[in-house]
Amino acid sequence: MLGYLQEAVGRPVELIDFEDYSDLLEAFRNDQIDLAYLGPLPYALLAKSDHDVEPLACFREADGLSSYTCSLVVMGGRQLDLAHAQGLHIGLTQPFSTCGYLAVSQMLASSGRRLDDPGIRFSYAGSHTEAALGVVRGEYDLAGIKTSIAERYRHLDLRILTVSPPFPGFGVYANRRQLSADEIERLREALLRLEPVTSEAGWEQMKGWGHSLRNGAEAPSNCDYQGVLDAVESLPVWLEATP
Amino acid sequence: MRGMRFSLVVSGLVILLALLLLANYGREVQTRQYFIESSQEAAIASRLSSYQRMLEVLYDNLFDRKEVTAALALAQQADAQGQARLRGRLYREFYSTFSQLQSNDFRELQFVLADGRSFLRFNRPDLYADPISLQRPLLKRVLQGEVHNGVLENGRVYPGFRFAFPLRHQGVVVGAVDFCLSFKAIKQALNTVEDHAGSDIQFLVRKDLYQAVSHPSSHALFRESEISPDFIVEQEAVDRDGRPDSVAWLYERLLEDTQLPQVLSEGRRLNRVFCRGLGDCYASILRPVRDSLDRTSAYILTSIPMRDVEYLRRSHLSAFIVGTLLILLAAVAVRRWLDSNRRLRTISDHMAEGMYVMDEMGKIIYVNPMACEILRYDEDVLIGAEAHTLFHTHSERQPPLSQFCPIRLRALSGEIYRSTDEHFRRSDGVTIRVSVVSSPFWSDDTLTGSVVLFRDITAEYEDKARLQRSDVAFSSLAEAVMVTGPNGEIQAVNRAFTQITGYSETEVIGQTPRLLKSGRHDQAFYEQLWQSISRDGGWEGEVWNRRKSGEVYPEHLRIAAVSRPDGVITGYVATFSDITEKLRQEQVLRKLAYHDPLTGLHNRAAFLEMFDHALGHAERCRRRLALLYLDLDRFKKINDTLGHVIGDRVLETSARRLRDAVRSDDEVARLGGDEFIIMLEDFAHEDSPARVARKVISLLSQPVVIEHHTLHVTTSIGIAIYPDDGFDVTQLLKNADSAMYMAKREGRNGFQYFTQAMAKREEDRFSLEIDLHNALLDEDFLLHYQPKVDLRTGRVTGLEALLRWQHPQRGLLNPSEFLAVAHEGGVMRDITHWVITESCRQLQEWLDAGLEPGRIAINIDSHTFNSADAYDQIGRTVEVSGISPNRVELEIPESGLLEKSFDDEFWKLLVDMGFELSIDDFGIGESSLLRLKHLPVTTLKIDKSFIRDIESDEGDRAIIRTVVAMGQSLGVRVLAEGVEQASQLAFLCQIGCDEAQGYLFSKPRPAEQIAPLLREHAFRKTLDNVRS
Repeated sequence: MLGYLQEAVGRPVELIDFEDYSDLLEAFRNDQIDLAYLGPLPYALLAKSDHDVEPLACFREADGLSSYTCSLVVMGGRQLDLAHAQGLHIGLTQPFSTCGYLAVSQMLASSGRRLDDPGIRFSYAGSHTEAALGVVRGEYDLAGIKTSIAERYRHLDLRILTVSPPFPGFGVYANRRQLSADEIERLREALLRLEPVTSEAGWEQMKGWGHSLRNGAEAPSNCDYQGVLDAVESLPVWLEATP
Repeated sequence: MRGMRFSLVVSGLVILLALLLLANYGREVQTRQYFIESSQEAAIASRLSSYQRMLEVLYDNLFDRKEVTAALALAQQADAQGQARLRGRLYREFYSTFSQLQSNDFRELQFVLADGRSFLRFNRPDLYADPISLQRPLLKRVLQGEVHNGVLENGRVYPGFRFAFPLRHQGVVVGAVDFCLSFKAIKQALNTVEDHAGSDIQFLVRKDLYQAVSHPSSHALFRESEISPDFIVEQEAVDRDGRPDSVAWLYERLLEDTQLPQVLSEGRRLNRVFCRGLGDCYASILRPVRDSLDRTSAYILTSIPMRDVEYLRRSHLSAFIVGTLLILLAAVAVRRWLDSNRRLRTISDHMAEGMYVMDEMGKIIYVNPMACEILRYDEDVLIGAEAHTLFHTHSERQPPLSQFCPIRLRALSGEIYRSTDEHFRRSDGVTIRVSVVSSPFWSDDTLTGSVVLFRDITAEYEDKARLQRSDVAFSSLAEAVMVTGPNGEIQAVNRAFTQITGYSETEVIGQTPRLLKSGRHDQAFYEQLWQSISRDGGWEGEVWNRRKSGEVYPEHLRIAAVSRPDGVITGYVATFSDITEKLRQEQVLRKLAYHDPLTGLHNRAAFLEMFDHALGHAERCRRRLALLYLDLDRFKKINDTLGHVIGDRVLETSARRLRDAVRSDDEVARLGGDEFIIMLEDFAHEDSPARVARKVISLLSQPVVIEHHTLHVTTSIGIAIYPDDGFDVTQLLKNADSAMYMAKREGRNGFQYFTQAMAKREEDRFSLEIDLHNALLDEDFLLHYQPKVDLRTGRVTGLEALLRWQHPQRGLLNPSEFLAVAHEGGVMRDITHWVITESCRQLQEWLDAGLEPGRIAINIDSHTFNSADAYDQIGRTVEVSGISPNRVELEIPESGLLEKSFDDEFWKLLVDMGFELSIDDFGIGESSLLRLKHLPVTTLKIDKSFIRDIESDEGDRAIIRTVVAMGQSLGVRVLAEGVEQASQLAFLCQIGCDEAQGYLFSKPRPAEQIAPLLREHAFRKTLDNVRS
């Protein structure tokens, strides 16, 4: 992928790995990076404080959709009244995960509950899989994970309790202070040009990319950022400051 | 050679010792490797056994329970949701057990249903329901009720040592529980082995077997092995942190092992020891691990520091050094003993004389190589044989006496026997003469035999005889021979010497060759002679010597140095013959070759030789040299008119006068014909050559009276000076010749110095001459025509053909620019021929075109009509062209008429043929009226110089009037040349001039422009204008 982008933009592209999202967002704001690969929540948080971030494209999921949903999962045999249950222990993935605090808050809200209710506590499992298996192992009563992960562990008697509204897929975002309009346009055009499903050449080009990158991308106009941007407004302030 | 062989033997012993020690060292190292391997094997077996015991306990207490087996039995029958519930329950129930197993280095715990499908993998719960027993033979057997433990197998995620136990419910196998021990556990076991501290252990898994079973998502857990792309190793923390340098270095050494690929493909083991330095050795042990199908599906690669190898090395190295020292000491002792023996043998082996030793019975007990070589027997034939009977004869023909052999018996009696008259017979039957010395052979004061030294003197003996014969030949040689010693003392002379020099042998023996010295050669001559002898070994040449009678004579002498093979001169041989008569004959021939027999002067060859010599001298002494090149003026005329006898007398007289005109040292030579040359050397004044030239001119111009003829001979002289005018004979002669021609052109009877301008002119003339020849070949000549107009009618009476040359570089040239050169270059004859032919052809063309051009006027120069075949050149050429001579007018220059008599038959012949004659350029020559009267001319052409000033010069007008009047009175037509002005024409018409020619009518034009003029009768109008 790096080589492809390099050819498109006409200058070298270097990959930098960040341990956590907060460092990545900080580097973006300080113009230490020109492009960022982010989930919808980190993007929304970044866009809130930095107006020079510009979405280039959002990547499709394996099912071909450019959005995904999150689910609250519970063990299959467990009868749970979400609106009234007390002493619930909820497994979350990571602080900046969209299916974490953001999506779980939204899903609890549909049952009239909040994550900071006195009868609810939550822990970060570290990943979607660990959060899901934590429920099977009995460590959590509930877990907020991507719906596709919930489906993967359905054979362990995991049940989906509720599903969130769709969020745009992971995307690439440009730093307008660092890249010219022409460069941004060329990168966007390059990402959108590839169609791995309908084009053999597109598949050849992308088959070596990562699982979440190789399904093609959609133009920002087809990625529903507004929902997540609105939802971010309701997040507690510490989320942004704390990794 | 022997020394080398001895060194080779010693080296061989040292190498043998080294090999023995090396082999022993290898065995020791191998023993240690076997020990390590055995330890490893025991450690692995022990560790697997202890894990098995642990798992058996777990199995009995946790897994082989009714709740578990019932759940599996139910799962076998349940739908997907039911299976999910059972699976979730088992996961929750056994997750803590799995965690404990992980902490004990197990990485997998799996439940498998009786149908062979995986039911639940604790390490990858997302992978399930795959028919794993199809790819895991161990599981297949376990599901059949057996127990198999500690066997290597690949799985969907990891390869590892597998332990599986059947789970029975109500006596029926409903599934199995499967454990996988990580390689880490085996590594830990190996690390506990003694001497394994600091070792590095890697499990190499066969990539193809692993990938045939594993899930693709697991592949990222492995990377390619360093030592083979066919094997993979698990990604470990150590990969990120980096292995010790020594391990990377060992992998590189293993990769260099050419056997490695074959070992890996055949599943064999490999043991190697590598050392980075004296104290830094490692064993690399590649141990195959077989899987449940008895395939080598993995390798354990152990890299262990071998600390005791260093000790082994040191001990073996010490043994090697001590052993080598002992061998060398022994070698030195043996070498000394051999050397002493060899020295003695070497002396006898290299003796130039044959040697054999006999015991007291006369049998040979030792013989040296020279004896074998002389006698041509092999050593083994001679050893043990009796010399007396085998090869000793007393003379060439006489057989040996059987009882008495002086060689043996005299020595046995204690005496030394010497003889030069003994004969030995060689193995090939040839008898040779030998000189023999036989001495007694003493051993511990006891006479035990004799030592015989002998030498083949056959050739020496024959040489002496040959020398005697040579003496006779020497004396009878026709050439004188004188043999001297190295210091020149005469040792021998032959009879011819005495005949030539008059000295007898007794008079000269002991004297030196200086006795014969004539005194004609200086010291330098002899020094050069001796230098040649010492450098080349001889000298040959002619010398003057003196006979005993005092007469000096020339001889041809050859001296050869006689040298020994080492180069030292032992004497000289001089051979010589008297060449007095030969030299006399050569002198006669030389005189004939170098002198002009008529004048007695040197001829051209002699002059050139002397001049060359003089040039060299002048160059060396930086002096000048003058050449005076003489040619007698008009000498040809004397020869032609008075004959060669008178001519030769003139030449003799001239030569004598020339000789008188110069100093005795100056050279005068006759180059040939009437050409002479004078060479002045060492002239003191700048004008000396000019003075000599004047003197020569003055002397030669004196009248010569021969047989009542008083002749006036003059000469023209060209002078060239070395080095101003040239550096070699050719250049100087050429330049002097050019100057001489210039003097002739300047009016003869004078001299000219050569100048560079002269050279340039000559060069230009020469170049033009070449161009003229080419012009004829390339047809570069052309004719222009100028009309002659009748002043009464305006009609064209004729056309004068005027030669032009279209020069490729210089453009169109008039005759004045090249005719002189054409004459001198001998081209004029051909040019005249071309002009006549071309003008006749053109005339015919006009006539054929119906035009009336009148007569064609052709200019004929005096050379042409003075030549012997003038008639052929002119008359025949016109005849051949087909034009009637009546149509041709020949214009003859007035100056040229002086050279051919007016009453010459030639003119009459031309007129009789029909040619008309006109006198060109009339008025500027010396024609007398008398001559005009006799010459059959038809036209006088008044020179244009009179016409030019016709208006201003009354004198010219008077002359023109006179000529016109004279023409009328003689009945000859008068034509005015160069008419350019109407006023000139008016005057000419007024005085009754017949014809005119000039630019007023037409300039000379190419032939194609003439035809229109002829058609238009254009000139009548010109006349009318003038008259009006």
